[in-house]
Amino acid sequence: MKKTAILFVFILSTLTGLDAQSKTINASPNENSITYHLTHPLHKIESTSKEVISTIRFDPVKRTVESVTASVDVTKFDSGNSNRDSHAMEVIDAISFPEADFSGTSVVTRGDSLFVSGKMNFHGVTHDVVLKALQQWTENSLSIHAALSLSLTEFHIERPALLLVPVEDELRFTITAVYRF
Amino acid sequence: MTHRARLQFFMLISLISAVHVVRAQYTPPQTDTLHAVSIVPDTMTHDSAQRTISSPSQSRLLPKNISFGEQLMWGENGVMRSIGIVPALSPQERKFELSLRRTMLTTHQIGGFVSLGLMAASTYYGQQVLNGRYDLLGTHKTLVGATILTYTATGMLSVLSPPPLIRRDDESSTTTLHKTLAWVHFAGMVITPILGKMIRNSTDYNTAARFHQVSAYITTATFAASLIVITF
Repeated sequence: MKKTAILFVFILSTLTGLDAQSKTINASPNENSITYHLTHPLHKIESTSKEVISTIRFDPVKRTVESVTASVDVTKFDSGNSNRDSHAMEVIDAISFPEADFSGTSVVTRGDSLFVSGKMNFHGVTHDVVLKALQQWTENSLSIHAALSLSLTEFHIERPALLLVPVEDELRFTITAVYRF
Repeated sequence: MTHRARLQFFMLISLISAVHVVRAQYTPPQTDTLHAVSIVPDTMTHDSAQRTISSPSQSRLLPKNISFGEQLMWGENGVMRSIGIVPALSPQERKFELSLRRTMLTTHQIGGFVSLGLMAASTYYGQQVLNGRYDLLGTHKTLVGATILTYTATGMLSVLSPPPLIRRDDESSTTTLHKTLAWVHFAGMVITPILGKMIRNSTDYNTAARFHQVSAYITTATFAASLIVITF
């Protein structure tokens, strides 16, 4: 009985210790941004939101990222032209799907590069995607600069058009997030 | 019924018809409820991710700074709802209105180019008349009539369209420049035909014709510029 109790305490302490190695933190407000890029034959379009909500789980000892989540309110993007932003919100049906989410659970680290595989929920459609990121660690912070390319068609989004000419199918996101711990 | 009253009646009937045609063609997007489930694992949820499955907010449906004209036409108690052309404001209804807005603005873009072509042709034939080709006066007048008709219809498509989802007043964009130039060419479209009418009764033909000519060229140039800026 005594041996069983000791074993139980050992296993519990080991599990607790393992859990304590991982830390979950939210991205620091006002230091995050997400920009989408679209290409039209007449011009390139960029629209930015600074209201990204992101969380990472990481190992502070090994300094490795284990998982990432990010969410953005699609009505908060600003391209400097509210008419254009409203048009974008129409095509992605922002009334029904006001947020886009990414949840990355598989992270591969190669030097400073991260390859985060996960699921993207956008326009009510979920697809597996790979987020490519660059990580920069300091003593008390982690900065992530990431890029992600999507196909509008795959997410059932009608390509917006100007003068009857639609934009290209590729929707590219660039994301910056800073996590302070 | 005067010519102007007939034109206004025609515009109203056209708008009502357009609403019904677009409504008949409009198919609401199919939402797969399975896709609406939050994909964020339980261990890493946050408030924002959970909001993904929340119901649409009524406050999002109309822009905060809706204009007086839009409020009058498309507001929660606007004329379009009061007389039953469109139903009460709801997320589903608003999606239809945004689809209608897109149809109207796309037609507005096409109408803009048609109007520019007619306006340029009117200006060309007007110049020919001033150069002494008085036999082309009839053609000039016909083109002017067509220009006024398409210009009015094109402008109405924009003015009467349902409001966007958002509007920021404190920005300077190609759209704001497009709208600013619209005030200039609208003034030109009112003044130029009046100046043209005044030529016949003027005691000084050359001066009256020159005013009409300059006004027409400024209007055409401003109208062309308002189309071009939207492409930047």
